[in-house]
Formats: sequence, C-alpha cells, structure tokens
Amino acid sequence: MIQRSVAAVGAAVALVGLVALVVPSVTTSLPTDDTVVTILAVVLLLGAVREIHRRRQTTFDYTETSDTELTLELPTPGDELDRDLSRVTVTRFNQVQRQHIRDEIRAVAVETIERRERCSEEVAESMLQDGTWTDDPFAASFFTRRPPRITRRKRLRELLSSTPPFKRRAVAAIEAVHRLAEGGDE
Amino acid sequence: MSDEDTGADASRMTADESDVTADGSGIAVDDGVRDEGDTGDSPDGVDRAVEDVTSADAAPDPETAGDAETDTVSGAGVGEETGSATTVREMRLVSTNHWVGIAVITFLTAGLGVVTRSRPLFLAAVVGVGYLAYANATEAPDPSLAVSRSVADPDPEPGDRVRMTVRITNTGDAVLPDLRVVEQVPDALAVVDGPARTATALRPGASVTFAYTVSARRGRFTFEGIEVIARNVSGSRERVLDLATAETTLTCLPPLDATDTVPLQGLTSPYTGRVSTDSSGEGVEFASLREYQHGDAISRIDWNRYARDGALATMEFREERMATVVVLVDLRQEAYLQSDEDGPHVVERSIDATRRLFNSLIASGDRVGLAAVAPTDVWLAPGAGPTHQAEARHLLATHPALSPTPPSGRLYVPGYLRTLLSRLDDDAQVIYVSPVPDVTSAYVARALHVRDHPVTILSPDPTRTDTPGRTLAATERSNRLASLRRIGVRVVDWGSAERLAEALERARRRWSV
Repeated sequence: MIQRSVAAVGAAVALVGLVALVVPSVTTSLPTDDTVVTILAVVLLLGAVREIHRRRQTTFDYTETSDTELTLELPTPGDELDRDLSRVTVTRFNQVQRQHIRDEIRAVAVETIERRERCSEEVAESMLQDGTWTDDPFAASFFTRRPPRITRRKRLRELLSSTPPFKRRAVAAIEAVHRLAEGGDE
Repeated sequence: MSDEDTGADASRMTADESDVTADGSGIAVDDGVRDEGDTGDSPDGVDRAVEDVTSADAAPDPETAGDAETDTVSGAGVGEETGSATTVREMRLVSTNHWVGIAVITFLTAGLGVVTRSRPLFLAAVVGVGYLAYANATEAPDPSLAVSRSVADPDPEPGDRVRMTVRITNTGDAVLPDLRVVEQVPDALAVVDGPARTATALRPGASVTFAYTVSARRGRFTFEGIEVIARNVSGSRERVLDLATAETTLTCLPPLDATDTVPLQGLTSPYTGRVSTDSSGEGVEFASLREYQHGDAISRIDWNRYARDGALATMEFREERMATVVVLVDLRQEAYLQSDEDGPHVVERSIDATRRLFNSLIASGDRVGLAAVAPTDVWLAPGAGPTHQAEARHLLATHPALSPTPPSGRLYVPGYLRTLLSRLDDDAQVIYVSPVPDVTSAYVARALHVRDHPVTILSPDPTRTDTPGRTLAATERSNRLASLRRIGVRVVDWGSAERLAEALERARRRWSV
C-alpha cells in the first residue's frame, strides 16, 4: 500500500517534470537557491550511502534446492565423540565437556580391563587410577591426571605441539584400550 | 495406490512416450499448443486440461487429482500429453534480495548531478529508476503444472539402472519466465546419471521433459512429488512449492538364491530335519551301541559284532530333527548405521542376510519365521513351504518397516519383548540380526536367552577404526559382544568387507572346536 502511494507520488512528480519541459514556467515557483540545492544533494547522497549499506547488510536469499540425487547419509558409531574431541582446543577450556569425554572413555576402559585381566570392576578402576594397565605414559596419565612419566624433551614437545595435551592423551588412551581389547582371543 | 493402479499408470505413460517418439503425433499436438498464433485445432484440449487442474486444486485431496487424471484420459486423450494434475502441499513466497541496493544508481547519479549542477548526470538517474521498476514491478507467478512420470521398468532387479522420465506441462495461463523443477527422488535411491532436475521458461501449454537414471535396490519406492521454484522475470521474487503428483512406484524384489548353511543351535522340534541332536535313534551319524532289545530293526543290528562274539547289539544314530527358527532383525533407529561411505549400510546388510538365512533354512527343511525389533510390527509366524517362502520374500522386499531409511518412531523394547515372547513357540530358537549398537540390543539377546530360546546373533559390523571416536565405539561393541558370548549367546561378527558365507563358516569352525 505504502509502495503504491509512493509510486503514485513519484509518477505525479515525473509528470510535473515532463510538463516543465514544455512549459518551463511551471517550475519557476520552486526554490533554487544554493542552500536548498545543497540540502537536496546531501539528502540524495545520504540515500546512496544508505542503499550501499543496505546492500552490504543483505545477503542473497535464493531458495536452495535439496540434494535429491544423493542417498541418505547415516552415522558411523563414534562420530559423536570425534566431534566432541575436535571441539577441544588449547584456548577454550570447557571442564564439563572434558569430563564428559573422560567418563565415556573411562567406561569402555574399565570394561576392557575387566574382560582382559579377568578382574572385578573395583580392581579395574584402581588399575586405571594407578596407571598400571598400560605401557603408554600418555594413555596412563589421561586417567591418573598426573603428568606423563616421560623425558623432559618429550614433555616440551608435547607442550609445543599444536594438539592440546588433553586431546593427545585421550587419543592415546583410546588406542591403548583398543590394543588391550584386541590383545588376544578369549 | 494399489498394484493394479501402478501398472495401468506405467503402461499409460509408456504409451505416451512411444506416441511422442514414434509417429510424432504427440509432438504435433504439442506444437499446436505451443504456437500461440495457431490456436485453431487444439484449444479444446488445453481448456479441458486447465479445467481438470482447477477442479483438482479446489479440492486438496490427492484422490481427486487421480480422478481428474482418469477423466482426462477417458475424455479426449489429452491427458496423455499434459500428464496428471498436481496438488500444492506447501507454498512459500520469498524475496531473493537480488536487486536490493539497485537504488544506489538513482541516488548517486542524481546526488552528483545536483552537486555538480550537471543536467545530463541528473537525468541519468532515470536509468536507475528503470532498473527499480524492472526489479519490483512483477510478482512471482503462481504456476499451475501437470506432471507425468514414466519409469522404464517398474519391477527391476536390484542393481539395475532404471530410467525415469518426467514431463512438466504449464497448464496455467501465465508465462513462467524462470521455472526450476527438482524431482523428489526417494531418499534411499541414488541417482546415477543425469541430474533429477531441470530449469526452463514455460509458456502456457508448453512442456519440458527431463530424464535421469536411478540405481534400483531392494524395496518399494514411491515417487510422489516435485519441488518447484518459480521466479518472476527479474528474479527478485520467488515462489517455492512442494507439489504432490500422481504416484509412480518402483518395486524391486531381491532374487531367490543363496544357500549358505546356517549353523543352528541344539533346540529342535520333534519332527525330522537337519539339526543333529544328542538323543539317539534313527539318523545317519553313528552315536552309540546298545544291547539288542526284542523288536529292534534288523537293519540296525551290528552284524560285525555278532560275527565276532555272537552277541546281538543295536546301533544307535544321532537323531536329526527339524528346528523352529525365528529370524529377528534389528530395525530401530539406532541400528541405522553405516561403516563405509559407499556400499550398503548396516540395515541393508541385515535385511540381505535375513533373506539369505531364511532361504537357506527353508531349503534345509526347518520352520522359519520373521520378526523385527521395529516401531512398526513385523511378524511372519514360522512355517515352511513355497507359499511361506514367497510370502517372506514379499515381506522382506516391501514391508514399510524394512525401509532403507530410518524409522521416525521409537520403540518401547520391554513391551515389544513381551509380545515377541508370547508369539514364540517353546522350542523356537532365535537368530538375531543386529549390529549390536547399544546396550538395548544386548538386552534383547539376553532376555531371549534367559527364557530358553537359544540365541545366535548375526552382527553386521558397523564400526571402523580410522578415528579415535570410532575406535572407541568399536572397542565398546567388541566388549559388548564378548559379554554376550560369556553367557552362552553365539555371536557371528560379520565384518563389512566379508561375505556372509565366510563369516558363517568362520563361526561354525569356532563353535565346532
């Protein structure tokens, strides 16, 4: 509605302009001093600035068509943990998230130790706590939460690496658990 | 839509295609419609088609759309050219923001014109005004389309490439300057050739045809809609529609084949069959010797022994009996997993394995039934014979619960187990086909096992070990299977690169030790 009326006003002004081509006297009553013209120029240029700004603020919004040719993607077990692990960074420290990852790996580790060492859950828990279940110092330190028993040079390398120590230890722990589980037939 | 309907539909469409390609009569009519100057010979047909579409639009019921189609066909045969009417399921009208900011030309030239007191520059602003008008004067058209779809082979074999041809006709009286059409291919089907979409401009009465090829796989698939985007001339506005079309179905039944011998457990029925039991009697495998009793068959007397020491002894054999087996497939949402990017996903492998198990068990004389842990009930009571086998084949191929796409509903597993246990015969053993993705699947196996239904798990492996998360999931599943083995459940772990027969053979060797 507003658009229509603005368009009508515009058409009327255009008509006046056309008439002025033939009868120039129509526009003589309009003010043409410098102040008015300058104000008009500023308004028009501000309008241009506003339009440029508007363009920069808006994005194209074409409807995306679906990928009908592709079949449905299904998850592979473990994708969720991979996503969680990829969110672990040196700079962003999220205690809850890390605890969640630790608990998840711990549960599988306890089960695996119980299965392979043929021991009770308590024994498995204490083995994790002492770090005696694996030879891998990084994997052990993931559950003991103490610095890994490694040479200073390796420790320095761990600190300088772009992988966060938490993530490196988590991955080491997962691999150690997997090795233990695959370690022989029952 | 019933089978007969589909058949009729398909044959009609094929006829349509041959019409168009063979004698060119279809094209002649089409051209008449397209040529707006030459309306003398065909407006009758076009009007009819338009009428039908309007009537279908008025009633949103797809049934009505079907009726409209039959009317057209029986009337003048024009329906064969225009296809069947569509109903709008959903519509949105949106701005694309394509011309946002075009007014900057007007403002800038006019502004600079005023500043520099230059009349030509000021007048150049008119160009910008022209663009503004072009961008905003028109609205996205509301398309009225008729769609006909033809399928080269409605009953393909798995793996066949099936050509689909879609023909879109503008049955409205507005020009569609920018029309994009995307076929709604069922999720489970992969398009292997040609995009299933087209973009064009359509005058009233004109048609566009596009074709693509899908790779068939087990199941029944329904093509029932298209996605349409219609834009105005300038592309500033667009109308997005989800159109329901007449249904076209593709039914793909897997072949009857494959007899991998399935190792079964000891619980059997009293009927003669294939499973060796510990009880002695008639059979082929020698079990024991006992003292002759009056009435024993002469053929079973051990004459060698009689010759040696003159005592009569009767040979006993292992009795071989028939087993009652229910193949239970895990079709919960959680079971829909994939281990490779390409290749069949886990449920596809499960269903394929179920079919093979079923056929081989039936072939060896056992009574076999089917069930699924799924939100929709699937149950085929144990039976034998060709009719039963045909019934199972049909169920495995077309039952909606055995879909290649995950179900939307959830299942209350304890409730389902009660139902299943009430259906199982006392002597039934269960082959549970499940990737064992979570504790619930292990719970199902345990629950059946403790109620004296021997359980054999056939587990297509959904895991990989290429990333830490997946490695952990693989370890977890391996622990789960180990804990099931400990309580006496037999487990066949079926790797993704392995053939079913290999996995079964490996398991058999392990169990016979």
